[in-house]
Amino acid sequence: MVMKTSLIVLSVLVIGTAVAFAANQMAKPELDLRYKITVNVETPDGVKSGSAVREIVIDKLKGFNPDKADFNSDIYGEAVVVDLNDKKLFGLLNWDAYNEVFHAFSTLGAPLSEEGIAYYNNLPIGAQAKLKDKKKWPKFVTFEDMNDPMSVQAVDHDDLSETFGQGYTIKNIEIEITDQQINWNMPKILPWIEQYRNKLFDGRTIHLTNAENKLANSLGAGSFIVRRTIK
Amino acid sequence: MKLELFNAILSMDSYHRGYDQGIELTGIELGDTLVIAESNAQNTSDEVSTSFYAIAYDLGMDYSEAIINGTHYIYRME
Repeated sequence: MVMKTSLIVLSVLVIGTAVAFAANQMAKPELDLRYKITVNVETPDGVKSGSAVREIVIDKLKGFNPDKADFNSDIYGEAVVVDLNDKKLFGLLNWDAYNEVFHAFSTLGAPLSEEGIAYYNNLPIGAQAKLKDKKKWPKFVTFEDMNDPMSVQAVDHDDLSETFGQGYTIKNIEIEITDQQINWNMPKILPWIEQYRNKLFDGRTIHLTNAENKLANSLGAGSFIVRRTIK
Repeated sequence: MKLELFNAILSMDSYHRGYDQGIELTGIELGDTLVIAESNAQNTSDEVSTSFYAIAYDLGMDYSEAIINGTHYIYRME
């Protein structure tokens, strides 16, 4: 009887700890911020623009040490697409694309700190800033054939004319805090994109240093569209 | 160089590759050692969603080393 009671108490403790830990992991995010990134391109026909709404979610992971908070940052949304003549310019969604916002708006604290998070939680809808640091700009690509992921080509953001012809330059990149919804247009633009959730554009499932097409071996759906899933 | 020290260097290297890395490493050479391959680091992959990460190095002299979620495995190439 004592043994049985002990087992029940132990089970309750173990389950309780697990539930508490899970509740902590699923707690309301510290920051859930949507922003619109707009790429403006000077062309011989005037400025052409493309925008995408993205969402940053930052969770505080308390773990078992209450004095040390770790933060987990996630980014959801899509690549920016700018229509330029017969080609499209894609500004990719990197895994750390949330830094676009952190580097566009000045902050008193480091992004992953209580002060930094408070700063971004207080940014009003409509707040705008330019992403001036080119090192924080998204990587840009285009496709020679929109139906062929292997035809992906890198675009030098300092030399668009090499890919699109004379007179094409990136004018600026703007970031705006928004309450707009994410459009999820990418499957219409690249109908094959969802096939590359778990594989890369060259069909491989690993990155190879000596891949024949290194760019295609480095990209998959995650650079173009990342949906929020229940974790 | 002792194997333990070399493994520590490779561990530090592997922590800064793939996804969620602290420093973005771009080179593939560590002395005579070369990075050969990495697991899928795309946001949408099952590897990332399950926090899996693996990297393989060519150590030269017919040996290669894989680090899979922090555990080191050394192989002799046939």
